[in-house]
Amino acid sequence: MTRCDRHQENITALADGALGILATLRLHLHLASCRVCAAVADARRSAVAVQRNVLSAPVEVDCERMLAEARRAIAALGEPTPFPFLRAADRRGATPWNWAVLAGVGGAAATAGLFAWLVSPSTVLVPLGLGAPPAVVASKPELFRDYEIIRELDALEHFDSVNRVRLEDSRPAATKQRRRT
Amino acid sequence: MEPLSDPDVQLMLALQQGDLSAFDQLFRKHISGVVRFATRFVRSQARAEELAQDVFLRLFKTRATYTPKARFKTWLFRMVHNACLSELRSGDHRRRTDLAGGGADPAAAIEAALPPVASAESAWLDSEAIEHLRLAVASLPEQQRAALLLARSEGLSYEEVATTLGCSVSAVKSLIHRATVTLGVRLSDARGES
Repeated sequence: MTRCDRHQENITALADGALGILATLRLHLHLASCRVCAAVADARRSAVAVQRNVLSAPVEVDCERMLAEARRAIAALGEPTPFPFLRAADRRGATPWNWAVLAGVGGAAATAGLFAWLVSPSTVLVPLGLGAPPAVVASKPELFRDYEIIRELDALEHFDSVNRVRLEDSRPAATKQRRRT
Repeated sequence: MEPLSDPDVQLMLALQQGDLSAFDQLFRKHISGVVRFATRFVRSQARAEELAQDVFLRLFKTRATYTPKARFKTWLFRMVHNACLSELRSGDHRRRTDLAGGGADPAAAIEAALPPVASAESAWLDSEAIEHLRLAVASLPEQQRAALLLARSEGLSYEEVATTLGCSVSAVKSLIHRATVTLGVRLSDARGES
């Protein structure tokens, strides 16, 4: 390969404006000292200009007709979906991530339904102040308000008798018989 | 150039978010270039238009997986180039080309398939020279033709051509240089003959 051969690709790249700064400087140094390459560079510059003109000439295209066809083809795909959260599914071909979200939402809805069925709404709503109490509670609210205290007092009042009964029941049968005799 | 600073990338991202008007804008902006490249590549404008439709439909279908790694045009022309290569390698295309040319004169078939040049800028050129040039481009090897058309017809930089064709910048430099030299030789031959 001669010294000039090495520069041929760079001469074309220079005509395309695609040569780096250092390579351009090196090439210009060579062109300044080599008439043959300088002539080649001139010829190539004009050849590239002609090619650009001819090849970049627009092709007649009926853009609106083609766009209408493209729209029809897109409509035939059945997209875009009116459900935004499903858009991610067609994004990755129904990825597991989206099915997991759907399964989670479905599971939560089922749990909420079961809970509502098992628990009376008033049990939840009345303490939260979101529902009206039953008629009995409404007539004597203090009883229900103090229900816990009343139950504790009841338990204390009957404490001795209750425990005595339990103690007697738990004694061995022999002891009970000795006492009788 | 940062991909996100490309307005077409922004349009593509808008399309990804469900803005269908972004698709229309991208289509109107690029359809002419896509058809031009495909026409010069597959040597038939009718088939090039079909390929362009396919490419834009694929663009729409794959919008969700689009990640801006390069200029939009680079990404688009990569799809166009792949579609053109598939078309050229399909037996269907060969059959159609044979039918168009009757199998007798391939050069005449190519000439018949190429669209007329509609540029006022090139009016100063001798029309015969233009036809010779277009024929010479059509007969270049696929990779050289693709590199040359992307750089000279679509105005992509060598780096962008390399990204589009999936090769190195030095390979692109070599491809374009060889294509340029080949075109020069063929045009000289044509002038000598006439």
